[in-house]
This record gives sequence, C-alpha cells and structure tokens, in this order.
Amino acid sequence: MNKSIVAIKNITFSAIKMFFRDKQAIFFSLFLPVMIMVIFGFMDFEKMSAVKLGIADEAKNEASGKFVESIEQADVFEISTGSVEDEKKLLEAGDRDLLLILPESFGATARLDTSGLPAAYQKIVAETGIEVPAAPGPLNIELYYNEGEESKVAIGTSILKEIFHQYEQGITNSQSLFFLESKPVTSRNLTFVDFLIPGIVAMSIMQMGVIGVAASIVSWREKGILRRLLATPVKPFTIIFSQVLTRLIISVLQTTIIVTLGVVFFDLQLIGSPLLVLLLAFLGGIIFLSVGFTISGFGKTHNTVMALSNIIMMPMMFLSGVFFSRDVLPDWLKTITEYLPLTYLADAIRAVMIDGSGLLDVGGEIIGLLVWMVIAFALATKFFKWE
Amino acid sequence: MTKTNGKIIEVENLRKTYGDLKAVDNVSFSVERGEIFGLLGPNGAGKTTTLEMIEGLRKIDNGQVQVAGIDVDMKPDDVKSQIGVQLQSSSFFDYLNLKELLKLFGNLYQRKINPDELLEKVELSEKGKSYVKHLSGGQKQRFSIASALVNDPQVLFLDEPTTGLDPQARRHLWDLIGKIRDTGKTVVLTTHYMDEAEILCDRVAIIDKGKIIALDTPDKLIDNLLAKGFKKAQAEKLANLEDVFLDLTGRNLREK
Repeated sequence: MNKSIVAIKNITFSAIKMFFRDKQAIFFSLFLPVMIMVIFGFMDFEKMSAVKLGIADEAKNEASGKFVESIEQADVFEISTGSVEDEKKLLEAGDRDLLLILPESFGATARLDTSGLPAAYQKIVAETGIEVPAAPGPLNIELYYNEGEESKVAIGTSILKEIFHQYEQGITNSQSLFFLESKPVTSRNLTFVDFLIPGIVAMSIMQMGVIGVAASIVSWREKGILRRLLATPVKPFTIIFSQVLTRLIISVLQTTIIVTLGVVFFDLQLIGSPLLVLLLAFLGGIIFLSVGFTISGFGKTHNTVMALSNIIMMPMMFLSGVFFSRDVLPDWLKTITEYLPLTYLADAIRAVMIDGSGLLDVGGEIIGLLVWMVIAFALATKFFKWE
Repeated sequence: MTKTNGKIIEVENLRKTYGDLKAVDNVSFSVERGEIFGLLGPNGAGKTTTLEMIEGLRKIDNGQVQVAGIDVDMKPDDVKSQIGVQLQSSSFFDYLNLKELLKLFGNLYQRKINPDELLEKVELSEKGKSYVKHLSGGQKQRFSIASALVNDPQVLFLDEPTTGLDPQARRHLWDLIGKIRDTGKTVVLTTHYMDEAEILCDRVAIIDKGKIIALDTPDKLIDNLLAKGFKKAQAEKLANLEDVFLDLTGRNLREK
C-alpha cells in the first residue's frame, strides 16, 4: 500500500509538470476561461436594456429645452436628438425604440384673455403677467414607437407619461392626491460578472475533467505509453488514481486563479465560503473525470474523443446557466436542464460565491451532484478500456 | 529465487487463441541465462503475442511460463520487476525530458536511479534535457533500452529494436545489445532481419502460424539446410550492397 502511495505521488507530480509544459493545455484550461471572463467583464449589458429615445424638438424654446432636460434625468433612456425626418428614418431602421416629437407650439404661452372678466381680475393679471398655454385644450404630442420592442416601448411610454404629468402639475399648480414615496434600500449590486464567474468556474471544471482525461488517455493509448507503463510492476489503479488526482489538483488551481482574478480585477463579490466552493469543484471534478474516462472507452482516436466530448459539453455549456440565466429558456427545457450535472454545479457554486449560501442551502444541488457521481462512476467502470 | 540449471526462461505448451485464430499454438522453449535469444518469423506469426505473454502483458490462455523461477501467470508483478521491456513502437510522455522520464520509470519500480549513468550506457549523455520527440530514430530506440534498464533487470526483451533504422544506427544498436549481454544480462529479441539474427543471436527460434518450426544456433540451422543439399541460385560475392553503402558513407552515426 505504501508503495502505491509513493508511486501515485511521483506519477501525479510528473503529470502536473507535464501539464504546465503543455502550452495547448494551459491555453484551454487557464487562458481561455480568463479570456472569456475579461471579454464579458468589459461588456456593459445594461446598455442592451436602455430604451433608445429619439427627440425631435421643433419648438426649440426655453420650455422645450427644460422639458428635454427633465427627460434626461431618467436613466432608462439613451437619448438622441435630431430632426423629425432623420429620427423617423432611424426609428424605421430599428435604431430607436421611441420617437417623441415636441411640436412648435410646445410651451408657447399667451397673455390670459381677460376680456369679459371683472376689472379687479384684469388688474391682477396685468400686474402679475400670468401667462397660459397658447392653444386651448390639451396640446397633441406625437410619440412614435417601434412595434418590435414591446417591453422597452411600454417602459419608455409610462416614464414619459409620468414626466408629462409632473410637468403639467408644475404648470397648473394642482395638488396631487397621492404621493408615491420610493425609499431606496442599499442592496448588493450584483453585476453580470458576479453571475458569470461562478459559471465559468463550473464550465472549466467540466472541460478539465472531460477533455483533459479523455484526450490524455487516448493519446497515451495511441502512442503505446499505457502499455509501456503496464510493463512495469505499477498497478493500473495507481495510474488511474494519479490521473484523477492530477486533474483535481489542476481544477482546484484553476478555480483559485479564476476567482482571484475575478475578485481583483472585476470586483467579484465573493461572500460565501471558498472551502465550500472547492468542495463543490471536487464533486463536479469527479463527475466530469468519470465522463472523460467513459468517453475514452468509446473513442479510439484523438479526433473521435474530441468530437464526443464536445457533443456532451456544448449543450450543457449553453443550457446549464453558465453564461446566462436559464430563465430565458422555454419552460419544458428549463425543467429538463434543471437536472444536468453542470446546472447543479454552476447553481451551487454561484449560490455559495455570490449569495453566501452554506452547505445546507445547496443541499439539493449536492444531492443532485452525488447522484450524477454514482451514475458517471458506474459508466466509467463499465466502459473504460486499457487497450 | 533463481534456478541453478542456467535456464532463465521456461515456456511450456503456451497457447493463445483469438476466436478461431490460434495466435500461439502449443509453444515450448527455454532461454539460457546470459544468451541473446532471437524470435524470428513473418508478420502475424505470433512473435509479439508470445513475447507479451512472457512479459505478463497479455493473459495466458494455456500453458506455463517461468521467468527467473517465477510463474508469470501467478505473479505477474514479480516477473515485471525482474525484466526490462522495450515495446514495438512504444513512445513516452511528451513533456518530460529524458532524465525525468528515467527517474519516473525508476519510481515505478520503487528505485532511486542515477539517470546520467543510464544515459551514458546508451550514449545519450548530452540529451538528458531533451524531449523524446526531438530524438532521432536510433536515439529513441537507445533511450527505450535505457528505460528498460532502470530496474537492473535479469532479462531484457526487445521487440524489433532496429526496425526503421539506417545501417549505421543498426550496427550501433547491435554493439549496444552485445555490451548489455556482456554485463551478464539475458536478451530476448524479435526481428525481421536475418543478418541481425545471424550476427547477434546465440540461438534463434523460427515461429510461423503460432508454432515453433525450428530452434537452434544460426550456424547449426544453416548447416542443416546445406546438409539437405541446398544451393544458392547464384554464388554469393564476398561483399554485398550494405558493405558498399557502409564503405561509402562510413560507419559513424548520423545523428545529433
């Protein structure tokens, strides 16, 4: 037994050394996840949800200028101004969600017509210089909208209505019956990076397990390295165990590097227990390593193994909530993908990292992972072959 | 542990079948301690299968094999620690240099070894920090032999050690194999080259279709053939084309 431990230590040490000398392996397991993180980290997805509002100000007076300023206060709008003609074209091209036209008569006022009023009133009006809107009745303001952007149009329209309402109240001096008091509560402001990094950690664990093991076992087999090892007194179990240990160690390293970079450069809010994250990485690692061993039993060459690995990994990468929330999936697909191993792994790591969930909070996910571990291990035992 | 009668390998009634194919069909022979023993035969004759059963790499269907007095079927790991193996077209890990590979192999035998000494033996001292993929064909084979010597084995198995090498490299390897035999080790090799067997081997067994059809010293086998009245169609000249080639290109190794 003691002999095996020494052999495992030595093979593992050599395998880690080999990993760090293999530029391709380094690229896929360390550089690529970090690159994905950097690219997505610099993207501002809030811009995607901004309502693009075009304003054609035909009045160009003090009142219209002030009104546009008050619209600019609202964060939801990405405002551009131009002539009616230009803005309409842009709306038709889909570059605007809404187009607000402030007509020439906007804000135009006139002396209150006091003829027919008692003399005392006439005197007051003359002295105070009160003015009223020039046109009688409500002024018609046109708002064109992009039919394809239903939700943005709805948000934008209701905010514009509110701004008009306040403006109107300012002019008419009428009193509100209700006041909706919004009170801010300081909450953790989670960004997309906070969502993304736990997903990338889970994805990297999957890739390291599946491709790492499947590719190296097949290449060892193709080159006759496995046979050469088996010609020594080393036990087959020792080789497999060293391979598992190597990948787990590298996975833990990889996780640490990605999370550290996330915290340092992207303000990743890591509030949960790092140890629990590593435990989850370990569980996930075992599952995906077993998948890798299983695949290496099916594929004879490097190319078939890579193809098989990608067939299994690709759908999970996009359906397990790595890059975006599974909430966008249709209900039936959302239900099915709930049971994918990568979903359990990504959800659990995310819950621990950014919500600070404890062991019991992610109990459901851990049970899911354990079930997958049993399944994957059974498959690996059945299908893995030396030759 | 070892028997005293001088026989280091004893193979009795060895069989291996794959479906209907009798890959190895009732083969028996023994190898004397300290000799170079050759297994000759056409492709698919069963040479490699026989060798791999003796090495403990392939399950024995029937029969008995003892190496250094140890039963292979019962204690494959004990046998493996007494022998050194060079496999046909086996390669090594990509990202470990020669010294690191030898140390790793030493570890697999629970041995601390001196990689420089081993590399020196196979004349690869300057290549200690190179990767295997950067070696020439002959250097690769020599390194493969070095890796088979890490456990100071009693028997060295070489499966087609000179296939694909140029004449200079082949001769160089023959010298090396001879030197290893001179240190008291037994060598068992397979080959397709009859000149190689004639020069190198003390005794050869010729295998065809899974059976041994002749076993003796090369000299004796040739005499037996001549005794049957065999004559070459054309009287042989005192030199052949290989002699011409070596005369023109020299005997020095073309590597580095």
